[in-house]
Amino acid sequence: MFGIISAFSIQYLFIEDYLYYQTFGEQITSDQIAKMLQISKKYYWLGYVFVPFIILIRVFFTSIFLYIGIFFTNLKIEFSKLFKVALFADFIFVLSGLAKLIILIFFKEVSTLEDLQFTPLSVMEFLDYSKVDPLFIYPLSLINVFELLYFLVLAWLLVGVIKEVNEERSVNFGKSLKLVTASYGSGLLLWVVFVMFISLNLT
Amino acid sequence: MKKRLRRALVLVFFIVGGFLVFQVIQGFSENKEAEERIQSIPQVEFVSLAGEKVSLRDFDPAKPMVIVYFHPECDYCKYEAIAGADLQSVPVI
Repeated sequence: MFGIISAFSIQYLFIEDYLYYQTFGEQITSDQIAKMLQISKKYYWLGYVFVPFIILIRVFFTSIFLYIGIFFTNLKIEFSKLFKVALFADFIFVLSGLAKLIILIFFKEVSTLEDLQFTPLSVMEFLDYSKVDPLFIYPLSLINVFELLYFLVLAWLLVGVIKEVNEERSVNFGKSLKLVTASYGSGLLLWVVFVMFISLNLT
Repeated sequence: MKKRLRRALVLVFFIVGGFLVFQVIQGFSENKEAEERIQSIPQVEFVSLAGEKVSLRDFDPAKPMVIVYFHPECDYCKYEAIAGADLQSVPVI
């Protein structure tokens, strides 16, 4: 729900027709831009429909890798419990969306559509976009404060779940963080390399 | 059984990860090579509007050059190319 609100706010507050003209004005004719605008206005609702699915896929992805990580230890936790942990931790990305909105409203001037595509408090924000190879923009955007917080929250929530399920074998926060780094971290690494592979083959 | 499954999972992770990393490094270096290649124009020969052979070597490399590639049977394109060249006061071959 928060994801949809965040997407809607950015669409409502910042996406104006002139942004399309300023972004694509030097590449395509104004007739083509008008056509593009017409299509994007017709299908803009699809963006909101996809938000819950994207969140679900993300949560599912995290819980699968946590489950694999748990499988390597001798702990026993049901998948549904890990799914809940991932779902609660996903709230961090709501904060990320909120931070993006605040930065856009108060600190950033939006003149093209590219100005809207950034990850708040990420490594990429300290680098010059034109000097970074497009292939590295996604991995560098992923290194951000919220991703770090996501790791920490996952580890913190996992401590509680492990304590609840395996009373005789509770783990501390440090061990839980190691488990999250090894499981979700490996999954994330694989995902980043996969995205780089796809973008290399599509361009 | 559990041990075997664990080993298989680690193996799959390294095989898939290794394959993707290898492909990314290979693709990235190929792109870089291609980028470097297109920084300089190759020495090619072509036929001028008068039917003579012209080589890029014949031109002064210190001066800027515009190459307009068009269909010779398209009159409109031909006039456009000549008009563009006239505006810039550059020779038309």
